[in-house]
Amino acid sequence: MRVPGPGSSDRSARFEELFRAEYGSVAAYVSRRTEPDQVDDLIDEVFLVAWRRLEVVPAEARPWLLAVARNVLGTHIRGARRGRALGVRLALNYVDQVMPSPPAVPSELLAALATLGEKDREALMLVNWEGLSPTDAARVLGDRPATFRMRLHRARARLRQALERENDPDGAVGVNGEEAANA
Amino acid sequence: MLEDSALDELMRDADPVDRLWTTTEVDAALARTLHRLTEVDETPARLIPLTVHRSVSRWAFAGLSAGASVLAAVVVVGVLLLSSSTTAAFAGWTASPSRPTVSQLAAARAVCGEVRATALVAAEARGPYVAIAYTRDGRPWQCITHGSTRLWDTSTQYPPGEVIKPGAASIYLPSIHHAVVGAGVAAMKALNRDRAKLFREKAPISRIASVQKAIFALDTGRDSLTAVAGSAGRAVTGVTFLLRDGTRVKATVGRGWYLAWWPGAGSTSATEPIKILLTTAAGTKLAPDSAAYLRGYYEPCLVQTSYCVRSPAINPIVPGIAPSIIRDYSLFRTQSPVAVNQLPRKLRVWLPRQGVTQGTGARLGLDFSAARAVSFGRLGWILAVPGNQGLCTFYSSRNGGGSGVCNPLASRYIHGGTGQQNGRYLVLGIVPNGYNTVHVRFAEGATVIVPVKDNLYLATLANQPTGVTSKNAAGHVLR
Repeated sequence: MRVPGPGSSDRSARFEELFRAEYGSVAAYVSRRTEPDQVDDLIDEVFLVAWRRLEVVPAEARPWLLAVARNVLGTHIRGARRGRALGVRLALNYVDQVMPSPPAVPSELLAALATLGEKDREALMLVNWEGLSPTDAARVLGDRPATFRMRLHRARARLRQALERENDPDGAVGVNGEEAANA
Repeated sequence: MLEDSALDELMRDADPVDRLWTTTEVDAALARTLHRLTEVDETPARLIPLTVHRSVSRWAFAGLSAGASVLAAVVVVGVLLLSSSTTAAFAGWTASPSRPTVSQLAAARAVCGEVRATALVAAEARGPYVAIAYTRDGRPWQCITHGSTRLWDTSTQYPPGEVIKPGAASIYLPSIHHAVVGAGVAAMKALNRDRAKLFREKAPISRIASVQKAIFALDTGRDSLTAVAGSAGRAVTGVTFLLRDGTRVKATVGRGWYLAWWPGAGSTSATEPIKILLTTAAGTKLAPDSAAYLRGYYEPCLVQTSYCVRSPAINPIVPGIAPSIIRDYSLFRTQSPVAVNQLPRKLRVWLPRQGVTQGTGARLGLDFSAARAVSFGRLGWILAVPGNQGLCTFYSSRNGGGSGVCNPLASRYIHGGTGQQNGRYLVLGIVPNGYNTVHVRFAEGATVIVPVKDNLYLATLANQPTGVTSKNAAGHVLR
């Protein structure tokens, strides 16, 4: 709420603006990596950190917020004593749980993705799913941009190899087509 | 071997969360997060005092197998919506104001941000609610309170030089504010943004001409209110707003100001204002520009901005969107436009592939920047795209399938169609304001009832439908 008067109102307004601008990105990031029933709590955690540290949130907030989300998710996973790597396996669960119709996700691709190391997988996901530039994605992972580019290159190569192992001899990966227009 | 670009394409196609979040969802999330912040006691006190009222059940898009129960649910919700604003959310509200007690006024001044007594220009009580108008930093502000809770406030900045002339027997209506109390953050945001745009326009002083509307959802069942304030000529001793349901809301008038508010908001609600009565020494009569004001109120709102202005001097209609679309389909007023780059990627890819953006789109003059997206939960999304010659609705399933239907403009019929999706039959479309359910008929005579949400309906069915009709409260049937 925009509140008249000095001091806290500006902070509140800034927080609100940040929330509204970035909620979708944070929600998507978290949703891709954990179970649906955990999503709201984890998003709250991310924005709680943002509220506490609003003064240090950079103008380009998304990489900063996703880095926080990554930490929050990591803590969540460790806290739950799951001892499992963060990433695609959970995304697969998510797909199974919330999409009752046949998933459009090519399972070969996710299976191949699951064979990659966590940071390699995260690099591919940040660029393709979160839509981050390599420079921004590097910030999320705490890499230098040059290091990240190398990581991305390597991750693509490994994914390609894994796909070739997973796929049938024709190399076709099924993607559900769209329905015809009724217009 | 797969190229990098093809590999990335495969990755993007595999995105398990290819969706967007509507304004309504973000509002709800923000309210939830703020509540969480208050629980951990980290929010400044001034941010907190939004009372979160009991929220009325929102429509669930229930399964179609239980048609009768769906209808029953809809009827019940309708009653709740109508009654909630006056009976539950604002219990004790009175249509006639009284003078607040000293302690009530002191509490309101404190809650509204330590308002100095000398800054007060008007104050009133309606039952347990106290509203004040005051100036701060040279700008007028309005604030509505309940005990130690601030329900809503705003700043109303008047255009320079547009103060009403002393002695005039008319009032200046700079704005009508709609506020959703349970989502004050969103409401204030919308109001602030709109206000900046509104006052770039010149509203003629002699006419009651400008009406400001906020763009957040008004009809989702949250507690809402409408607030008015403005300057009144010295000859004016009384201002009364006559609402559609017959309620006469008397404003507080004095010192060149008037001030009033009432529960409920929305241009189709029972609490919309339909007449303004002015009292002077000569008696009470319809405000000179009441009709112009009301036309303004009903006039289609701008698409990108969100206020409605109607006067000979101001033409707010965006070229390219048929006014009747904005008037007849309130989702274009209550929902924010969705940025094209926020649409699910598969829908973005699908639209040009189907020639929608070129052929049909060009013929109908579609404006994708004015598109609204409405979620139907697990069933997917409908994207409604208005144009100057017609209207399209596109369906996007959660996993990327799509379908759509476009119609040229016609007066009040169902814009919709059917299609097939994963072996099930899809019915979707858009109906004008006032049509709350759609009846889907089948060859053997069976009918199922589909609820309408934000003018849109969507259902998947096992059998092929043969027709779709909808009836409004007046009994008019769309076919």
